Parts: sequence; C-alpha cells; structure tokens
Amino acid sequence: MRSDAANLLNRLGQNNFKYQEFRDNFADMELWPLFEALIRDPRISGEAGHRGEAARSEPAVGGRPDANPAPARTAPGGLFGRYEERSPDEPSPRSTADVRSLLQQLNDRVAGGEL
Amino acid sequence: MPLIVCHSPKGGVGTSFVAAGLAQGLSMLGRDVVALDMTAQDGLKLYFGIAPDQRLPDFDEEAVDQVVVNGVLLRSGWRAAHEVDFADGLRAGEFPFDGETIYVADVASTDVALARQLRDHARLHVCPLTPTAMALAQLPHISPGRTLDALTGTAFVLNQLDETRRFARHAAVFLRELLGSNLVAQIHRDESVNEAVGMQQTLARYAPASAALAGLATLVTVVDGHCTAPATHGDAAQPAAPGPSPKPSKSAAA
Repeated sequence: MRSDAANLLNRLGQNNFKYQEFRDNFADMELWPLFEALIRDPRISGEAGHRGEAARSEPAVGGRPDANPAPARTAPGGLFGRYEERSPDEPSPRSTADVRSLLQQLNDRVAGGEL
Repeated sequence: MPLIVCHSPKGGVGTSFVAAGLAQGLSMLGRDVVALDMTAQDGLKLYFGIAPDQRLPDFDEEAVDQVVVNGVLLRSGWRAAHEVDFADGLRAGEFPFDGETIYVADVASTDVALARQLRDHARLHVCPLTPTAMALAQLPHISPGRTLDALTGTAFVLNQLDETRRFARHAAVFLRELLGSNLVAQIHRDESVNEAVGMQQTLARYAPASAALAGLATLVTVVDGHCTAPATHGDAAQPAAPGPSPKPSKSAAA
C-alpha cells in the first residue's frame, strides 16, 4: 500500500478497506498510436533539421537559430525500443494492426485466465 | 535572483497551482519568495486563499499595502510584461533578478512569446503536464528539434495524476521514459485542491494530508536545489541544439 493511502486510512481510523493496486499489462502500451506518433515526431526525436521541419518549427529558445539539430536516438532502449524506425521491409500498417490485434487477444486470454 | 518560470504548452494543466505551491514551499524552506502572476486571468492568488476581487499590486508598483501569504509576496506582472519596452528592460537588466529573492512567475500557456523571453533570464523552466492525450500532443512544441530528456533548464511536473485511469497510468510510464530525469515530480489528482480554492484557503491549511502536497514537496526540493546552485545566466534558455545525448537515468520521482 502506498504510504499516502496508508496515512490517510490511519487518520480516518479505517482499517476495513480493500486496497487494490492498478496494474497494467506492459503490452497495453503498444495500443496508443499517439505515443508512437510522438516518438516518431521529428521535433521530439531531434530529426527536425533532416526532414525540413525546422523551418516550420518554433525557433530555438531566445530566438537563436536551430543550426545544428540533435540527431535522432540511434538505439532507443526500454519501452521505446519497440518503436524502432521502419525499414524498407517493415510490416505494412495492416501487419501492425494484426500485431496489435494479437496482443489484444493475448491480453484478453490472460485476463480470462486461459493463459 | 533566481527566476523560476512556470509555463506549459497546454492550458488547464494546473500551472498556476504548481506555481503557487512552489512559491509557498520555497517560502517554508526559508527563502524570500515573490509570486508573479503574469496571466490576464489573475488566478494565481486564488491558490493563496485570496478573494477574486482583491487586487494584487503591479510588479513595478511602489505598493503601500503589500499582499503577503505564508511569507510569499504576491504581485501581478501581466501589465508590466505587456509594456512595449518589457523585453528591452529584461535585456538591460532593469529587473531585480539577481538578488537572494526567488521569483516564481506563472505564465499563461498561450503567452509563448513572454515565456520565451523570461526563460532567457530564468534559472529554471518548470513545465507542468497532465497525463492526458491533449497535453501529450503538445510535447513537440516545447523545444522543437531537441530531445526532451536532454534539456538542461527545464523540469517537467506530471500534475493531476489519477492512477485509477488507464490512459493516465500509461501516459505516466511513457513520460518517465521520454523525459528521463527531467521529469522531477508527480502530483496526484486531489479534489481537495479545488475545495481549498472554494474555501479560500491554502491547500496546506485546508487539507494538510493532501496527496497533492507530497508531489509538490518533491518539486520544491528539486527547485530549491537549482536556486541554491551556482548560477549561470539564463539557465532555462536552451543552448543551440546539442549533439547526441547520453541516455539519462530514470526519473527520481518514478
């Protein structure tokens, strides 16, 4: 139990609450296209200059020109490792949807106790 | 003076609340603090328990009746910030931003130009976000062309976090990974924040056990560390785009 919840219950004199921690299947993280869009956004990845985005983007703080944009992360790790740059032989969007569908099915089966 | 600029690219994420809590927390640590409301909404004072009809003296006004709450001096900076010569005054060093007093400026999300001017002279830019899709969608506007975990003068705060909501939990995980050690604090959603304003009391007085205060305390500690560290001019102004940055460590607040 988190300390703030424990403190609150103690202050209230309540000891008969059922405490539930909300947990997520890590694969759920794949299901938000917004996250992937942000990771691929050149203004965040540092690729703005390479894709001609710099001209459309706001200038650097203080009005200094963004002459030397940071390169993109070349080897993202952790969560973002799953958002790797697409290659020519990358699965089509339909394949991506299939993967998401598969993950969803797996989640459903885990939630249903089948796996 | 250390100038702390509180500004978010997304409105409604609790920037004024964060600025007010930060100012009060720094004051509790014994710092001399001035809270500057740079918004036309004039809402910062509400988080200090001040009535909506009480006017704050202007930033550059010789005020007889000062407004002080919990040791924090409150001033309105909106009019002064929109004078035609404000930017020139900042550049000329006409503002007292070099003493011991910490100035916490609350800047409206839409006032991007003002935020940029102030960040050039600030020790730190505090950027509140909420774990919502609309707030995350504004991330590319913060510092285009730079990875957010490599910004040296920006500290992100995840505000109004409600872990009973699925997207909020996922967004928190996502932001911890994206922002790295620049995500310095998480503040849990707490209705007592709203109720305290309704009661015209500070949150610390109305709900001293509020979960939101714990997150604020973390932020205060981080910001105080920035304020007491040796200063370099305009720390919150980002340098020209850097080269590859090392992967930062995980957020201390994670």
